[in-house]
Amino acid sequence: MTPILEIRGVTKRYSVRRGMFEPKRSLMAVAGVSATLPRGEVLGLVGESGCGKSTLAKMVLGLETPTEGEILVDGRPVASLGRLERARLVQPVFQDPYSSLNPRRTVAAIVGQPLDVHGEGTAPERRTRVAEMLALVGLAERHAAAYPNQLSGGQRQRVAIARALILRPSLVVCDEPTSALDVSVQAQILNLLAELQAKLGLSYLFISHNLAVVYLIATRVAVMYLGRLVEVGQAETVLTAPDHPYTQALLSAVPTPKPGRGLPGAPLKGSFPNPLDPPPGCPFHPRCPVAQDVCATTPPALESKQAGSTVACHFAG
Amino acid sequence: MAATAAGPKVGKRRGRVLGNPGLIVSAVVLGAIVIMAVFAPLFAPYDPYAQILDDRLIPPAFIDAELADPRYLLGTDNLGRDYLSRLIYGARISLLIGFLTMLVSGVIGTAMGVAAGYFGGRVDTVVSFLVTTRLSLPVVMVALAVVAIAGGSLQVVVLVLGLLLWDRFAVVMRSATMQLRSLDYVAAARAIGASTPRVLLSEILPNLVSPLVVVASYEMAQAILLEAALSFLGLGVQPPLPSWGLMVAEAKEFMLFEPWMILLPGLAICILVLAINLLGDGIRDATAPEGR
Amino acid sequence: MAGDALLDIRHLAVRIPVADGPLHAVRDVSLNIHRGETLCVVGESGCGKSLTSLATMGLLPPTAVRTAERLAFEGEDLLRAKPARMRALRGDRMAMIFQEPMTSLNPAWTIGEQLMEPFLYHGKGNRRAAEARAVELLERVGIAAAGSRLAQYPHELSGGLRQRVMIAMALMCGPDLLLADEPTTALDVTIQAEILRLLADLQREFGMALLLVTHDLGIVASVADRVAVMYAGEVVEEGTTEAVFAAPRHPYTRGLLSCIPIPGETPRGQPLGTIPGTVPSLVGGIEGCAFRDRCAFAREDCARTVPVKDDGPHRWRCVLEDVPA
Repeated sequence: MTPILEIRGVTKRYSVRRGMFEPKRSLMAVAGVSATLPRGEVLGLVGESGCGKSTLAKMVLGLETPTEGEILVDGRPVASLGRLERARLVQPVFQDPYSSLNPRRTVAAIVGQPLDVHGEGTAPERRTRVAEMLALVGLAERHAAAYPNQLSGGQRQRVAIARALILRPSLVVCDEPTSALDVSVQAQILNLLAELQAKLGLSYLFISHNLAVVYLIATRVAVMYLGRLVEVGQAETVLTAPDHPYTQALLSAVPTPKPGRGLPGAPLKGSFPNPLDPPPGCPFHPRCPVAQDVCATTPPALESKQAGSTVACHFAG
Repeated sequence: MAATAAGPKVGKRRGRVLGNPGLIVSAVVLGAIVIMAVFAPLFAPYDPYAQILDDRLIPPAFIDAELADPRYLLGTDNLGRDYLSRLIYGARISLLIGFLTMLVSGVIGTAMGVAAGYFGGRVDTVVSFLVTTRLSLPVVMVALAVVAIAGGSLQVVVLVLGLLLWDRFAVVMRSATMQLRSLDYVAAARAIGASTPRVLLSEILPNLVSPLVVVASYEMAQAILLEAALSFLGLGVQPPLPSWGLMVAEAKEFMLFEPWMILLPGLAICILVLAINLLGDGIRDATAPEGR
Repeated sequence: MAGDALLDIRHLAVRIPVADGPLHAVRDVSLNIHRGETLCVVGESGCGKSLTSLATMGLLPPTAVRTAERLAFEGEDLLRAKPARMRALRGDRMAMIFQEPMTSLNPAWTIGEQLMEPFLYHGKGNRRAAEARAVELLERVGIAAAGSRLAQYPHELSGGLRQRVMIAMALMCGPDLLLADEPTTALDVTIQAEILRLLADLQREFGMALLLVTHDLGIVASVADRVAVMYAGEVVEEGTTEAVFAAPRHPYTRGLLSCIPIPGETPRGQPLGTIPGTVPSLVGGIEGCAFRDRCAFAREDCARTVPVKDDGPHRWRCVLEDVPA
């Protein structure tokens, strides 16, 4: 069976110019990323801000085009799809439920908009489908006539999910879907996403900086650092016994709600490098606790390790 | 929650309208002027062009009770035309020119501003250049020159002012669009397959209404003032059309002995411009979406 | 015990007039904090945790009304303190760090000028002494080449560095109480870990009391000596971190703890615990327990005044003798 999402050697470069007379420089937001998401699974994409995970998401959605490489959704290159075709295959859920809904439209209009755009069904049929969709995401009928500013953050995120699912896409790109929500609401939305995935046979590309959330919902996890994948594998393995020193640092930095474990994480050396001027060799080596001379010269390739993960590190595992 | 929230929300909007005296007063004044202008034949006691040479320069009662004539509420001008009728018909000219100019410049400026803000890059560079070029032209001088060559008429005045007053629309719409473009609901609309015109029409434009109303009211007021200025200089609409600017011009010969002739059309221009500006601000305050 | 507290808040209430009536944003909050202690105030958005810290500093929005039975800092009654006295205390004896390192520094001034300002304003010494202190503190908060950083502007620094500058600025006068309102929420986890470590170290070194406002129970567990859980403007549970996490007594605290996934511990493939429903409106005030509409154990008497129970230093507001596990 073809995987629902295949990312093949994707690179995205932006050219930036800081001043009027300075030469243009190229910023590599995503550098040679390859990953596969089997149908019906959830690929968690984790990393800190500026690691390129959101750029990758935009490319999967067709909102940006890769500089190099190719992205296949359902075996078809995203670049070759028309906007309507692409919309039926892949839909987004964004982070901020306040800016992701047009404040001048009612909930019914927002959720029904994809049907309008695709010219699907008659007006009564659309109303029925919108009502079904709202019920599916746990909103009441009375919410259909409400405007976004009358809803809570969690309710708004349910509206955004309903809009994403009404065309019945096979792949949903969730870009930090719970980061702007309170923990109790986050739990509701995570449960809803898991339930919908099982019920509708969806696949998610789930982007988050929150490792605990990814651990809960993802089947596979890919860890990004400075535009590159550093570790890919089963969520259970990567997020409990990581091989890459960066994943280890990331995981140990997450504060756990259990007292007595002390402060999270031994701090990493140095600071996040300037993406315009990435370090040579392994991009993580200036901050890595186990780096040796070779790390500063030779970039490590993603290699398979015993636990079924692939890790880009000279000394891991 | 939403069902209960709908009640107070409607109430709140009504509260925002009723709690804004500027909005109510300006709406009433402007509404009265528009109704009078549209139904001018019903309100005007006389034909504004009819000259009764026996009844020239009759002052209104509140200026000189002895010389006043009860048939002419606001007196007559130097050709014996009823001043009240001319003022009422003059509102037509002012409103027509103000509205049409605002429409022409609004369409040009909004199209340019939205295109520059949404597409950025080269489009933005070109639009910014055009705005800078336009800003380097002195409006009154250019208008005078063009009208002097093409001849003054209502159409020419509308066209010239319309082609000169779009800069503020372009600048404001450009920055507002740039803010909206980065919002996730625009990305979401693109992701559901909406075409670019559809995104612009259904996602961007409705959220530009508030700033648009303000700029539009400001530009309409500007156009009315400029028309009055051009007509005063004899380069706007031509006699015998009853334009307020023209009435001021015609009255200036009698300024010393009949100052009310300048005062009345001047006051009319002032009230109209003030009402339009206040209404624009009031509508913006009342229609802005709540919260974020 | 509360007698010798550095900060003693008793029955604090904050009301904000809104269109539909007074919003009871903080209702009957009593807290105290001792020298060298870390107290975390935890809760979800709108629970009143930030307003509590602003009310302590006297930095509430002008329309907000603050009432309390007692609000004392180092034994001094802040309820009667004049604005000039509050200004003298703020930035000197009590300092504050905010959430957004991007907007809490003024982009028009250099780091050095902003760092030196509280020191000079409070008359701690001349410019020379201020500069020396600024360099010393920048080094202490882990900023390399501190001397040359003084001439830089905020936009030249990353988010993590700016938050370090904010911390250094708060420490310029050696405060007795540091209030930190979600100081790491806008930062990445690795940087958050560094900042938390730094705050804990500095607190020990300077012997300050630290009042940390956060929504993250993970942060609470790793840094707090004591924790106060807030819900709908009230402290619903308060106690030592060990006691509250080991045996939470309020159903809200339990619900909150069950909502948080932990890698390697939370079972995958099963729904996460949730708290159904939404926070009630605080406009017009609430009778009885504010949590009863969302509580699985609600009874009739929850609508009446809720007793505060205690087990030594562990206190909670609930009618139930023991919440079933």
